[in-house]
Amino acid sequence: MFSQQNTMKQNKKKVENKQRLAFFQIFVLIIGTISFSYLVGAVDSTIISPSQWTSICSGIDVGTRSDGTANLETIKNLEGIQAITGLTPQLINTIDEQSIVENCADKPDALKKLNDKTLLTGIDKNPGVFNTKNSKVFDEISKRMQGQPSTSSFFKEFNLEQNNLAREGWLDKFDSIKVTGSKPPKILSYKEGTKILELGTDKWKRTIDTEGLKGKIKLTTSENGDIWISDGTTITGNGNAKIEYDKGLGRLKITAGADTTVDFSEKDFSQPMSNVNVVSKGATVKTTDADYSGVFEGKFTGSSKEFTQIGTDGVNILDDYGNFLAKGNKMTIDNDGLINIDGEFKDIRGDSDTIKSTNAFISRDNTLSSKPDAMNVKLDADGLVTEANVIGSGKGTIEGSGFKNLKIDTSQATEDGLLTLDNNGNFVEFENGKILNGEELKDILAEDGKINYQYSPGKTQTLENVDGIIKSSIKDTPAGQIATPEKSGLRKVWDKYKWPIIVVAAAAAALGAFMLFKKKKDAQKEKEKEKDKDKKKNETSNSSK
Amino acid sequence: MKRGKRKGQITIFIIVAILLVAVIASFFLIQNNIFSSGGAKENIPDYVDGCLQDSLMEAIYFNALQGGYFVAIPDLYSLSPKHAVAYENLYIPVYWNLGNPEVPSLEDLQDQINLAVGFRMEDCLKNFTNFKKQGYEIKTDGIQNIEVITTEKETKVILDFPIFVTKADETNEYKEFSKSTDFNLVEKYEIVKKAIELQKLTPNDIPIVQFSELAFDKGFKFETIDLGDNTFLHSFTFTSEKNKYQGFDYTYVFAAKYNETE
Repeated sequence: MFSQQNTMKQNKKKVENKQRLAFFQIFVLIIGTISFSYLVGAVDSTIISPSQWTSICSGIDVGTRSDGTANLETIKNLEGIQAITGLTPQLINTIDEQSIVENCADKPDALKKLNDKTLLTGIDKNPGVFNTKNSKVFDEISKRMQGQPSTSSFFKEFNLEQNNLAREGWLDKFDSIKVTGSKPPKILSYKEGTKILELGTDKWKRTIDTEGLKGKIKLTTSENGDIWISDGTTITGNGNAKIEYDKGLGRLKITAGADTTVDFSEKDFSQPMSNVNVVSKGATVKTTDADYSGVFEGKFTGSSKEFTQIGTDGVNILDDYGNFLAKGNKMTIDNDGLINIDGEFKDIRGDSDTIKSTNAFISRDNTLSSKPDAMNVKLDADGLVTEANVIGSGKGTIEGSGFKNLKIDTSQATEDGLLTLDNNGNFVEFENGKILNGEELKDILAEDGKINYQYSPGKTQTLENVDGIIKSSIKDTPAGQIATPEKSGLRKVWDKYKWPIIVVAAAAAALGAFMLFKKKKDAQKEKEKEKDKDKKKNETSNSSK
Repeated sequence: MKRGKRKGQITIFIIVAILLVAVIASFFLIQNNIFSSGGAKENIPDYVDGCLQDSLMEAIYFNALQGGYFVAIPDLYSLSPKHAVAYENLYIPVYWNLGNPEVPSLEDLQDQINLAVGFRMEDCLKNFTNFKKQGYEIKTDGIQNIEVITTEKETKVILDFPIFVTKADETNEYKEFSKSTDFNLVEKYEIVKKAIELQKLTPNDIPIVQFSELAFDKGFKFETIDLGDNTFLHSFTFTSEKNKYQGFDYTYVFAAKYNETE
């Protein structure tokens, strides 16, 4: 019986233990469930969901006056935002400029209600917002620039240092523009209609036709306005410049003002569509041949440079040969460096040599020209005139103070072709086959100076000033000379054969004297005869009386 | 040129001539140079021939220095040039005067050679004094006629000079003498004429290109000498061997007077 009682006690204890385990298990389950629920509940309350952001963006739009903008704090306190389900105060506190711009990037109505600081700060913290799907951030920035002067509050804000990344991001959105360096340039204006962008400061300006350049070239710019165009052109300096694509001309057009340098030294003009027009308003245009500065309209191509609309001060040309000034209506420089000018070309270093021509070709190197209808003039490394060719109907005057080593070609000249060398009013003219006023050569040809004069095809005369005597030779064969009586060859002959010549000359003079004597005597005889006749006549008449 | 001045110059020439003629004989004894008179010859015909040869060459070479004239004093006789300029002791005729050509004809040049030969022969023969001293009896009425013939092959002079020479009862008669040289005077004259034709292209300027080309083509050297007053001497010197006479280059000199140009 006792053992039965023990067994019953033991069974009762087992049941009690099982009950305890079950309660514990239920407790743990309840605690676990509660803990899980708690944990899950805590995550949801710290992140604003996409749907909540949609509501926030919408709230910004609706809650802000239609013509007004709101800052971050105002946005957070908007009723519409406070009422968003699940958007706890803690969540609202997490809203900042970056998150607003990021999450409202595709909501133009919300973006436009952000005040400048909020918008720009948001962008600056993440310039990637320009590139997110359906982003309207670029457009919003662009819109804010319309009709605004560069001194407006938006531009002031946009051009702040703290918004450098925002500006860079916006500029990078242009297909034709890339920013380089640590800072982007400041933006002065942008016109949505024409898509003309102005960068710069109150000192310099770069105007860029973003739409026109699209797909044609890429340009890289930096904080100070330096521009590197993908074709090798660079634009630098503290002046103004405009880069556009002229549809009418079908080429790049650069307008550059004073203190601006347009450098084509690295530009490859052999590439197709590489021709470029430059409207210079006092700028300097650098090429591999020379630097051209002044007021002009220049057309730069792979085969030539053409200057029109030249200002009254002319185009200054600086190259290895010197510093020259070209004035006139039109100037063309070909690949050989030969200058065709309808005007005046002058070496301004020594104010010495001036070339005036209605149609002149001038070269400062040693390349010959085959251009028709022109006068060609070349200068040496010292800027002295070394060659002048009247090839066609060109007329011209070269002024200088004595000429040395000059090469003149009038062999192709027409009747109008005439080249005048003028040395302080002493001049000599060259036309086809003729040297007019040849004796004047001694006044214009410097000591030891030489002129090689091609007067007809293949026929060249060399004129050389040797010790004051102008010596002439044809095909290197001496032909003759112009000399003073003292230095003449005839004088030398006279000195050598003086006495034998005097002997005969004296004989001739004696004969002449005899003839004169005879003539006088004959005349006297004739006179006496006449007298006698008159006397006889008188006597006869007296006797008859 | 003023008339009084010319008279003065001629007077000076006469004095110079008298003085010089006095020294000529001794001069030629020590100088074997151009323009020397004929040397001593064994017989009279050779002597006359020698004088004729020298006189002809003298005439050709000297006259060229005076633009083809032996006596180039203007307005003196029928053959005188219209204008001339003085240079050293020479008179140079003006071939181009203020845009107008005044070139003598080839016949004029022949006449001047004729004049020079005649005058120089008289001087050269010296009236046969040396022969007379040697016992020759020489009778002559002087030079009757001189004919100068110029062709492209030669320049020839024919002298009609009858001489009767008697010695030791033997009398010889000589009538005509002639000498020639292969000097081409025609060519030289044509060159000068061509130069004046070229001058017409630039009436008031020296045609330096044309003269140079002409000189190159024809093988002479020109020289232009500025005498001032827009007056220039142009001399054409022919330097080839065939144009030399006793080392002296044939040099043709003429003057040109140009209009003032701006």
